[in-house]
Amino acid sequence: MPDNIAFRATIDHYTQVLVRRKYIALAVGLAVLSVFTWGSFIMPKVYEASSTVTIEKSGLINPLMEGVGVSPTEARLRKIRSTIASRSTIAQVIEKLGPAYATENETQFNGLIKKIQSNLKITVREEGERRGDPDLFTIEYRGGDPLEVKNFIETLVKEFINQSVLYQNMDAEGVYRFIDSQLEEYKIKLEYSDKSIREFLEQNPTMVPQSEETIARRIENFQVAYIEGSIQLKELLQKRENLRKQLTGEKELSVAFISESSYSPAGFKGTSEDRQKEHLNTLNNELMLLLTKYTIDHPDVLRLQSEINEIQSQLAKPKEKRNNSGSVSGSEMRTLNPVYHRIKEELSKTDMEIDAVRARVDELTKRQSEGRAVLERMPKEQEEWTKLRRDRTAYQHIYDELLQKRESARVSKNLEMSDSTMIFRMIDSPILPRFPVSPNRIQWIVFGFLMGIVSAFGAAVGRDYLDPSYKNEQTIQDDLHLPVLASIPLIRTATDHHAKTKFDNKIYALAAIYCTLIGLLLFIEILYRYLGIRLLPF
Amino acid sequence: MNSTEQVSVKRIKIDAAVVLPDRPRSKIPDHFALSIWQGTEAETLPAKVSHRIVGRTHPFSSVVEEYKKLRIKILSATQKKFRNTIMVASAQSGEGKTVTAINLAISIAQSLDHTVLLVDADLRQPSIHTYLGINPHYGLSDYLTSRLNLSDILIKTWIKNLVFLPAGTPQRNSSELLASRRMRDLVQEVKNRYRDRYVIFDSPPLLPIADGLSLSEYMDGVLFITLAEKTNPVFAKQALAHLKNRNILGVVYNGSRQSTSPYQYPSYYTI
Repeated sequence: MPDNIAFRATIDHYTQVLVRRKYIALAVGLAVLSVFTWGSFIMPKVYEASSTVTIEKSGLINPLMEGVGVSPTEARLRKIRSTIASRSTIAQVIEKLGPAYATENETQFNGLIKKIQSNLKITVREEGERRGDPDLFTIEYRGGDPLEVKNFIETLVKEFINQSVLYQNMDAEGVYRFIDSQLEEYKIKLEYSDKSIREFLEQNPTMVPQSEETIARRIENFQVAYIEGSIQLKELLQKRENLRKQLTGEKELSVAFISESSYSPAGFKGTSEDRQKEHLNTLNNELMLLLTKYTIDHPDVLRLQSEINEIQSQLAKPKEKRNNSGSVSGSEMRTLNPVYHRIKEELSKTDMEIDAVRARVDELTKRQSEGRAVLERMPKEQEEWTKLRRDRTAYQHIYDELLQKRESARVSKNLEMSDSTMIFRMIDSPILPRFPVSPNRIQWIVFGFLMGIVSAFGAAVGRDYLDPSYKNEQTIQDDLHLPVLASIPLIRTATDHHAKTKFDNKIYALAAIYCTLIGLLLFIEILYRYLGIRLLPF
Repeated sequence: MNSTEQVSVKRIKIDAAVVLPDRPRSKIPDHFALSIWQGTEAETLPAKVSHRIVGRTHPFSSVVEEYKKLRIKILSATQKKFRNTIMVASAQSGEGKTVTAINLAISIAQSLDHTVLLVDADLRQPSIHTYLGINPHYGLSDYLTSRLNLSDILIKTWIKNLVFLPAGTPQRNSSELLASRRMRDLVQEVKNRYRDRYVIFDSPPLLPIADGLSLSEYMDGVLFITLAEKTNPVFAKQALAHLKNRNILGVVYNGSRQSTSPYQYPSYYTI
């Protein structure tokens, strides 16, 4: 109940404010109404023409094209919007429309393009969006002349449709070329990567992709082999020392006394010289026989060679000397010491083994050093190696994908070249607009009435709020802290009252007439817009 | 409450101006004051009496009831010690001092136990005589500047128990005149002559000129007038600041558009 009383008090308060400030409220309200109403007549008219275009897609091909590198519709729709509003398209439309859009210089032409672009609107139709198939869109154009906007939108849509196939082909070709260029680029990268790997392997021959444990195990094996080799080397050195000691106790040649009779071979009846010659021949034959089996360094060969050399030196001495020296009944014969030669042979063999073992030990040492070096620089090399391998794998992957996409793009290009994927159709032709879209006089006048009421109330309340004078007793008591002894009503005689009422009625009548006039304009506009009945020429 | 009353109350709420019916035209000549002075109180009103003098023109209107309430409160506040000199003041001109002074004077005069002397102390722009339809030859200023007797300048009005002292010839040195010893003596004279008399002074506005301030020195009480939708609170406070040591009886709120009570009768039925 108290709320109800408070509400009524509030209503009463604002009613009194309105009565108190009725003139300013009326003036402001009517002024606002006038601004909206007559403003709608003064404002330049804007007409709009629109056309709906659909993209028809091949029902057979598109399912096949799904998932292929180039999206046939969605991506392209975005492009269509920018294509329609592009400078080149609009310029061609202007050229076709001729003198209506004639400009004198480049600046004017640029201004015209910008103006047209700002008046052009391309929207995807809602029904298409609801279906999840945004291939239905509307092109709208606004201008001051209804015929002009109709012709413009018609020409623009036709021009767009004519060019669409060309754009499609250019698009597909462009995509194919792009992928192809990317493919070439990655091919070069791949080759470069291979080259880098080869160079790396050449610079790091020991760098075999293996683990550090493997290399450590190998170094350990080298170490074991090195120790074994060292032991063997020591044994051989000891052996060689022993052989050398034995060799010093032996003479290279041994002396034998041979009688001439005993010396002659059996059945040989010639002189001593002849017998030596005969023996020399025999030895040469044996030597030749041995050389077929052994090398020149073989001990038997050396022994025979030494014996042959001795006989030859005997034969080369003069006869007297030989006879003097052979005054004894037999001759002294120097022959090779077989023990000496066997030791020497063994020594030679030992030397060779020592050399071999040394070489092996040296090799093992070198291998160990190399292994340790590899182990030290392995992280860096491994990192570089990994990078090279990774790059190469990535390049290879992209290259393979691009290769696949290029083939897909080739198919797409061929399909679009055959004009079998998309067809643009104008399903709603532009019509000559009868009414301007702006200003909508009905909306403006109705809005003017509403705003007039609101602003009238606002003006009255605002004026009252700004007026600091006393408006009730309570305010006086609160402000002056004095009792209000009487509240004398406004005194007015019947004559005054009638005069004021008459004046007020005149004001109300004028306001009502004015509002009726505007209401009549509203009615005429409704008749014109919705029933086509035109009562006013403007 | 019947439908007629509802409609009437509603009208009061929206615009609470009291509409008074036009009074019948009088055939009394304009120089009615002379005949009043001659002691022949008229049965009908002079033609030039303002309709705002409701105590006489519309004695049964709701406005008169409000003045009666004011009278009761004034008498209640002053009767005990009989502080009978009351100045009606306001911050600025045009806020209803004169009308309030006249109607209050009439209201007190119509009470059975008191007489009233209504003094027009606005020596610069006197107007009570206009409201009363009187054309006096002399007044307060003449009394203060010459050797006139008080009895020579008093006017007995057509209202019983109400005597009027007009302002007289307008004077430039009104402030000095009101502050003069002769003025003080005059106030003492009229205050003390009759034990049942109330003397009501209509003063000039307080802020523009000093006359009211000079006059307030001799007053037993000051009635401060405000006018709805006109009196500026700042000016009102300034004016009251001038009257800091005076006895302010209270405030009269003139020109109210609000109904003071839900039980208030509409003007149509109270007249």
